[in-house]
Amino acid sequence: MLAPPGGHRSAHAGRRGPVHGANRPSARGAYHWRVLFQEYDPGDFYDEMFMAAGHPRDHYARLYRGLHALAPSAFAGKAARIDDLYRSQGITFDHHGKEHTFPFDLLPRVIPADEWAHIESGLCQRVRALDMFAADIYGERRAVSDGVVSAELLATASGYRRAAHAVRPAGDRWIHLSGIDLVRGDDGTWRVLEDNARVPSGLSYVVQNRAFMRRIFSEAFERQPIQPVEHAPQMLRDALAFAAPGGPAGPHIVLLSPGPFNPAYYEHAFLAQQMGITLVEGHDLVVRDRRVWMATTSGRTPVDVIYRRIDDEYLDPVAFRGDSLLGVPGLMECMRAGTVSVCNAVGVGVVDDKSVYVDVPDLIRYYLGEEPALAQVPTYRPDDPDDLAIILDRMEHLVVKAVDGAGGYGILIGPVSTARERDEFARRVRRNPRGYIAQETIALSRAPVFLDGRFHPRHVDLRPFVAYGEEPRVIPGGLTRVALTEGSLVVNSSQGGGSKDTWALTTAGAARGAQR
Amino acid sequence: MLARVAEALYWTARNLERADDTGRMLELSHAFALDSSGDPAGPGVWMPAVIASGGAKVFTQNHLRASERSVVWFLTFSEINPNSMRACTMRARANARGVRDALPPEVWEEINSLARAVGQWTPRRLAHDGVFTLCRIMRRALHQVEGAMDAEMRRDEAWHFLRIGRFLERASTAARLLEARWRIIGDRAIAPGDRVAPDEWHALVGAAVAPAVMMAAAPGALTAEAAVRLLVADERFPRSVRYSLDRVEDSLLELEAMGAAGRRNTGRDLVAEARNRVYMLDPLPVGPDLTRFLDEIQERCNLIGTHIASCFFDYRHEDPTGHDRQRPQAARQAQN
Repeated sequence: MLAPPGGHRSAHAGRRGPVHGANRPSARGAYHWRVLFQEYDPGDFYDEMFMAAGHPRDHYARLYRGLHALAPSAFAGKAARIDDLYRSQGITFDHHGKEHTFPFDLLPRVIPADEWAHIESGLCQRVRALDMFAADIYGERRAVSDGVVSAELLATASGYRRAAHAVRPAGDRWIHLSGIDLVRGDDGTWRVLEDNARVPSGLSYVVQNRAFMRRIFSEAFERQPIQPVEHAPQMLRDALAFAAPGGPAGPHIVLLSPGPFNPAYYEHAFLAQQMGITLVEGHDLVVRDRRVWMATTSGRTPVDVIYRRIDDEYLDPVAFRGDSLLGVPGLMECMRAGTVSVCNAVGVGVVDDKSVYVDVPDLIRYYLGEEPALAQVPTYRPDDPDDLAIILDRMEHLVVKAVDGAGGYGILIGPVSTARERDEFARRVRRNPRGYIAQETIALSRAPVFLDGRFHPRHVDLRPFVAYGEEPRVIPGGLTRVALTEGSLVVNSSQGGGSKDTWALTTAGAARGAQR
Repeated sequence: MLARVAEALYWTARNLERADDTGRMLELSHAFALDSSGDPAGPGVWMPAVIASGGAKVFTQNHLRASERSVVWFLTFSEINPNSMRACTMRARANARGVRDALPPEVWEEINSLARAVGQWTPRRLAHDGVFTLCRIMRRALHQVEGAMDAEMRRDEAWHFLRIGRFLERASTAARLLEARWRIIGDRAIAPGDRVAPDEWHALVGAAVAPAVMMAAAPGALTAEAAVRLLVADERFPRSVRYSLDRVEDSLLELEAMGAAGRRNTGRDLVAEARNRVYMLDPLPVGPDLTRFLDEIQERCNLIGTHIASCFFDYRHEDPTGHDRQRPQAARQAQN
């Protein structure tokens, strides 16, 4: 453990730290600064904001200085106002029958322009390859015959849908919106943790967080070259329009939601409204003459594109789960007939299968002939005997995940597990090797989070979104998720995670900002 | 527009209007209890409010007598009354939440804030702050909701379904309120042209009607006839039956012009008939005739409501796959 930074700083008083420089605003400001970051210890982790205690990274310097002018009570007041905004606008998610707000941290997460450019190109490359992979699996299966992925792996992937073989999505596009989870470990390298290619959620928070930040903390934006995110719904809409069976000119697009009791209902309503498309539930849609219609006050209106926010197996009770009340009977038939597009395409879950993840770098090489730009987390598959031996041997250092788990459930975090939990997981892994993967534990980077009147370091990850119509386009920034519990690595909103506004900086904007 | 969304908007507006109307009735009873020379705890003071809310049966099953305490609680927060102000507000919110993408954020935000405010009231606070405070919060919130709708919304289907819900509820409740108010005055026969005492006047038209409004509408005197004409037949008073039915008719006409109903009959003829009944009021019905007349108005409003539902919301689609699918009903009230 390092010495408390408060004492550390006073030992060098007058020599280091921007607060002691010539531009120091006031003695009062200095006091505030000391309170907000008092005892803030970056520790042994990679800290997004600080190189060392009291030494912010370059891209955080302006923000850090700006905090001088702010009393902790003023900062706390802003934080409370944001929470109130979320509550009064009903921006909540349902969890176990109660409406919760998604905790929001006021200090933004800043990504410097060069890092963002790297992430952006890496994501485009990855999504391009995943999309080609989906088309291939449900088409010629070249990757299988060429030995890049095993047929068995695909056949046992929970996201694999035999019914999808008969369907060729318009424009051969499969993954219209994806959320690729990135983390960085103590070496500062960005790594892909997992791909979400089915129905990734969180995009509304990217837009809404920014809007609230502008309202409540506008002074933080001064002279910062931040890429805007307000057009994100429009980017998604473009991608959906690209998928229309009759071409992208004026298609009728709807968002299919399970309804107000779904945890993400707020997001469905927000995105539908922002994109100017109709929010429908399964019972609003009906299939007649191999076409999907929606029931309006004046009769039936045809639907061209369905942005669905429900899983494959609930989409069509005729083709999949007969007990589903959320879907539209006969929908698959319409897709086969090519009269309607479903986004993301049915069966696309096979590409974000946690076991397939291991093969993604090879898939990028195979389809694009390029080296993967983004690193991955070293991963082991128990169905490989060598890997299994490693897993059983090193379980206390690994994170073991169920391949069909989501939301941070069904997961063993080795370093904080008990021997009993490890035995239990070892048993499960042996019994069902295809059902699990194991990954090296990444010491997730941390960022300052405002809790109880000052900043504390907490682990963060990043979910950027990629909208893929004609070309993949990355929505600048993405959703930074925060594990609010000290030491916790689980950032999922259902398990006490929060979020931050995420600033992707641009160099072009920096020049513009400096001129003002 | 989606049939489900239209229905939810319609019920959002109806439930909000009903909550506010109940508040108005409470205020009125309260004012009368204070002004009245009679027994403030007498059944004639508070029971009419319960009857006007349509909850007489439930009330008498659960309460021994209609006192200020029991009635205020019953109409505001009671769990057993499906038309309490709280229940109506929560239903309005549930409906609005299900279609929030069809509402401007400001409108949804106001409805949500109102429901949050009402949800936080406790029996203690009601006793402490009084029912007036609650009614005022309710009314202000409703003004904000309606103001936001008027200022922000495009005059499309959504706007008209909200408007129809609001004014159909108001027309029907206006008749019901007048009936209840008439009861407050009691059995004393009032003939056209009879002057009424100021406290009775209060009981009839309520404090919400500013004297200036009254003087403009009926220059002259505080007569029973003037009160009835104002509340039923006034063409320009936004809380009269006539005015409300006119707005419903306008909106149906607009919906037809937009092609929202296809070729179906929207029930505009039913509205026109009802409106013609309140058009002239000549001669003015009195005594039991008035009661009968007001009953008839309510019945006509119910018919209009049923017709609108079958024309716009009850859009059953035949399902060729034979799957039995039911559309969940919008959270409405049991018709009273």
